[in-house]
Amino acid sequence: MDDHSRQSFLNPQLDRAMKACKVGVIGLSGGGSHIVTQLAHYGFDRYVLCDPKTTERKHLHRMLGATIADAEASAPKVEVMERLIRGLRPHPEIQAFKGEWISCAAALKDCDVLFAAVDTVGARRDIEQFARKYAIALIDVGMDVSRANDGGYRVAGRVFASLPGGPCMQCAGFINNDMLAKEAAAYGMAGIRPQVVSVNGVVASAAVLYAIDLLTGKTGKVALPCFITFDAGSMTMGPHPYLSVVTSPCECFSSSEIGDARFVPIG
Amino acid sequence: MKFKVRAASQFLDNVRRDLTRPHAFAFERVGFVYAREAVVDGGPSLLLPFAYAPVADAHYMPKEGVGACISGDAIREAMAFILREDACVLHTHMHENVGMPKFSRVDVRNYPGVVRAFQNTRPDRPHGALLLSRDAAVARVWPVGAAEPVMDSLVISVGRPMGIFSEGAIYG
Ligand SMILES: [Zn+2]
Repeated sequence: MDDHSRQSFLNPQLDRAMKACKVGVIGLSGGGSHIVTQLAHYGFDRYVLCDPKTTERKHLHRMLGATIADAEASAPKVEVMERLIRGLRPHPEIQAFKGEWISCAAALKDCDVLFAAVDTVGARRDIEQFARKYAIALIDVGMDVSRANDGGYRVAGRVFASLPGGPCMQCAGFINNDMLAKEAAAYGMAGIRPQVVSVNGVVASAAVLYAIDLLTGKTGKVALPCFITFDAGSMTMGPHPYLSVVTSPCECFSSSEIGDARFVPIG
Repeated sequence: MKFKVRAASQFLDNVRRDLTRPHAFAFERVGFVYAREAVVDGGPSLLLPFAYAPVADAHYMPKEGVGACISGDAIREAMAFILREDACVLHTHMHENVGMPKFSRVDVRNYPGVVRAFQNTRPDRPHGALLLSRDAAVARVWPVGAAEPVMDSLVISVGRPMGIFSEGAIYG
């Protein structure tokens, strides 16, 4: 009996889809480690993983799969994630890169679904541009911690799915030039970005569920475009309010930008 | 060498809409999907469709026993495009069934001649054929310099739902 028969109620073809679909995960800390763990539990078999960092003590609060021994040995995060997948899947195909995502772009191109769990607005924008260039379904996850009016902290997570031809992060008002400029100006002074393991878990779960919905297409109930927020204070999850103003199809990316950069003779 | 043809499902749906327009006498329509090739590390070669051109009504010729017979002018237009654009081209038509489409014997017999014309025009790029159904697609791609196509290429339709297809199998 198939080892995944217990979840076959989702879709009898899901097992085959998970064998053929190549998934990429950029950023393997808070959000990314949850995503990888869930993908492996589902039964995905083809991965491209990338993260430049090694495991440290402080990561143990939020990185699933990481151990005290990993922190003591400064184990690369990609190795921790690869070990986790191999512990759950008998014959996975894993390309793991300890480095920035751009350094493994040639491998990431082959991904059909790409998860991005990165810290900066600029990286999000660049990864989305890359995903559009190669017709990849991009699912971005993130978490924001901001000061609330009462002096406390407001913790919110979000998932944004960017599909070729569909609204992009700029169309949806999720990123804009102002944010990019502020980020560039504050470069090097960003300070700590607190992560909360359980909020990461909620957001990552929504992202993986969305990917499963893409691959099975069975629920037909998930809103398109997908832009979900989770407010940890009120424990509510729902469509982002910006969604109501997304109307036109995305014209931010042109079909002439598809594929590898080419040498174009002038004249 | 394997190939993966990956396109937005919106793109493939637009091609389907075009190919299902009735023609005065041809039973099927034909078009050309133009694709960029991308080099992948440790994977199949990627073909990324970026443009589609239908064969003009006037380029169909009446012929018994085939769904559509297109003129040399139609092929020449495609040849001019790939030469100019440094593109790969996929001869594209549709079978109006639901589920996996199957290349007919006539399709299989006619492709090598068409593909040879493309290979002569743009010998440095892979070319081939794409066959759509109402909800799936299959491709046969001839690698650079090859006389025979690669059979187990994947076609990925990216949207909701996503489709992952190869000849004889639907994934998802
Ligand atoms: Zn846009």
